Amino acid sequence: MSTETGRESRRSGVLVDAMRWMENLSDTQYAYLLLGPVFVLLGVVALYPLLRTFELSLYATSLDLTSRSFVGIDNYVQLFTGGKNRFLPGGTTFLPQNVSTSALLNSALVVTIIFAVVSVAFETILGLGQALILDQDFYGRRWVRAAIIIPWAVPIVIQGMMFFLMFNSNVGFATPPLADLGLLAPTNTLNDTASATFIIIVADIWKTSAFMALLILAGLQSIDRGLYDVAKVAGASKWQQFKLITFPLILPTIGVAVLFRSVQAMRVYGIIDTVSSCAVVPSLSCMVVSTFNTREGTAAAIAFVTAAIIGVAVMGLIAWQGEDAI
Amino acid sequence: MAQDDTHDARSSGVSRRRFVQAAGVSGLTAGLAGCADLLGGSRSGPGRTVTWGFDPVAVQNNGDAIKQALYDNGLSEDITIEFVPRDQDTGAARSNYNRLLNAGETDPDMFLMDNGWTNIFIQRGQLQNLSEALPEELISDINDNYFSAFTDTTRDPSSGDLFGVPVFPDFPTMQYRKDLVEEAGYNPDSENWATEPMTWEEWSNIAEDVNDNSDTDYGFTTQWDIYEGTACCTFNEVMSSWGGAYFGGRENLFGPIGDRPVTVNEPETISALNMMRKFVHDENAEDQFSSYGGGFTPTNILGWIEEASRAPFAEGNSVFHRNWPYSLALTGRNPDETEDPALGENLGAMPMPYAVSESNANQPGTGGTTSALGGWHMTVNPNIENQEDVTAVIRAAMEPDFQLELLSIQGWLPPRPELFNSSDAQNVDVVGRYMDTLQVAGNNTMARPVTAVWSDQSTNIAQQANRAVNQEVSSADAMATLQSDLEDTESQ
Repeated sequence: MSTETGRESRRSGVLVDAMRWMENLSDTQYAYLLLGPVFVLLGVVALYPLLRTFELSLYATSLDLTSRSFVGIDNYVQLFTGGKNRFLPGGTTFLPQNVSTSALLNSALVVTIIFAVVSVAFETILGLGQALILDQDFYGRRWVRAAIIIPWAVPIVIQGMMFFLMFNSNVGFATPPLADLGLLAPTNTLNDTASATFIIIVADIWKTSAFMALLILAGLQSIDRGLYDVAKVAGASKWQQFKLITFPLILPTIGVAVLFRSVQAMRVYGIIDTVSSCAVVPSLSCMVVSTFNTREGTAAAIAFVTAAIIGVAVMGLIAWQGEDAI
Repeated sequence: MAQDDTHDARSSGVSRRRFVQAAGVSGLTAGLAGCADLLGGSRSGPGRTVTWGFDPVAVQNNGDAIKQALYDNGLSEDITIEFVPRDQDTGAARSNYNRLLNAGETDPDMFLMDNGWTNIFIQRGQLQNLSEALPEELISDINDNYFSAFTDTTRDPSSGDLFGVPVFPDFPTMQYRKDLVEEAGYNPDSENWATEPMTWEEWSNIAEDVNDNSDTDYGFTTQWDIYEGTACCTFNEVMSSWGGAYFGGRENLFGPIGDRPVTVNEPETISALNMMRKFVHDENAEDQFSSYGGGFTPTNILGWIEEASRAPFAEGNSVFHRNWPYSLALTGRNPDETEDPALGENLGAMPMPYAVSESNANQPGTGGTTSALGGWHMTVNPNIENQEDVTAVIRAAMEPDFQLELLSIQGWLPPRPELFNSSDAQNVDVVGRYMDTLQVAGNNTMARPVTAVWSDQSTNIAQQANRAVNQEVSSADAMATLQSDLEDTESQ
């Protein structure tokens, strides 16, 4: 042993020195050393593109698309004052022009917020219900769990085609009954803003409730079963058990799930493009994609504003959930 | 004790030294593998190879035959042609080429570009100026012998210089069930339906009559979704056949942006939309259409693009159908020789009907039978290093025999009017039967007004045309909104 140590101590060179230096780091220092590459990677693939997007948003493309000039924050000013609406697809706008239903549904910002709030709310409620059922012991529970995840595994394009075909005027079966109930326009359904927005929200809820259910189920299964035994002995009803044990203990999990889903929902694009079109159901990401080929500055400004809105929404959710959130 | 626990935990896991060594070796290996691709994995230099961004369906079905046709028409065997299939979606192809040319890529050397967006690449200076790069005899050949309206979509509107060479134009026709109209007592052959355009009024009465007296569900199927095809083509055709235009007539199609009038909020354009409402809803707007047939077109057209609208027609469920020549090639096949629905010799074609003649059109250069202008051009990457070889490929691709070969194997129409009259063209299976009609269509085209702002305008146009025909708003209100939208996009 002593011979080996002696041999090693006689070695020298940069590699050996680096190894020795590393061996002598404290645990915290060592942790940051290992996290270093992750920070570098995030800097390259996240921070740098974000800064470049901001830089791009300070330039405007000339009307004939031949040149680009520095305009400072003019793209942002025009975005919020309506000057950029002429470059957005169809009759869509960034902010609503007035408070009528059609103006609100033509606004990319309003549609994105409506989509995020409605879809995440329904997905959370349905996901919680599904998770509570899956948490019970019943025959075939494993199969039901597998079945419930199927919508989540369907690729967005396939999901989009399914809903497109369901409401397609040639082969679709879903429009007439829902039109009779007054929920959808009977003709030209997928080109009607209100109808298409409704269909896209339903499609998203169908797909993503399973994701919420699985996250919440993980929270449910981490609850100590002994607590329920104590509650039963103390004579607590099922509702009291849910209200006093289950719900408080899974609330942090629900918070994280809502956070993830909200970020995802604010970036909605794929399902809109496959079921309808960005000119009919405008979302912020839709506006970025629609303008990027010809108006990079406008697209970058919308992308940066979208990132800022998501950032604010995330911080709001984290603040609301308190320290348990992450 | 605590110290012992820590020691045990560490010694049972991977040591720091071993972890960093393993991570270092893995990283180094991955890095070397990546660099190896950059250093030795890239395509060898241009050499005598010409790469051409091409139609993916054509490459898959007829790639080798098209290459052979180029060699048969004078291309040296020393030059290897390599087709690079593009995205099938024209919009996605445009985005890809835009990124690629923005980045100064040298590959591919040539592109096949939609006449709908070639102009945008010209405006941005992303293409080689062929008036300067190609020999004079090729430029004169294009100027003298090609469809002029189609060729104009590949010129710089300010200088008139050519930035592309037309490969194939597309002219839609009105296709119909010849058997049904004959059963209903009409005689397309003796009445020269194939070459003499009829008015919308006469046509609509025939459509309603034949539809009422046959077992078809629809009298007419076309495309009226919110998409490029409505703005560039179906609405543009109907509007033009009423003497209307987006920007004050033919001379302003390609600009100047901001200095041309916007003319959609005009009686002729509103009448064109009201006529479509008559066809779909049998609505007699402003008592203008009492002598027209109506109610024979399904509201489905509001969500239909080409293939969705062709399906019921090919299945024998519609009397009339508006579509491009590919539809003639597919629908006109012998039903006994294909598993797809087809009509064979029962398929007829006529030029698009019209409402006012050229001389009575309000906007200059419009009126009469009008076919929207589609089609594709070959263009050249400005960063190429093999100009001579690229010129040789273009020269071979401009040979009339090569263009006839494309018509034969791919159904792509020759860009030279005189080829339509050649016996070879008339003899091509299926499409050859409709050459007379396509000739009339080719001589009466209306290009889409592609400028740098067209992509901002086309969705607005399609949306308002769609909403008007869906009766969400009156045609007049839709055109008033569109007038204001278009004026916004034209303002500096």
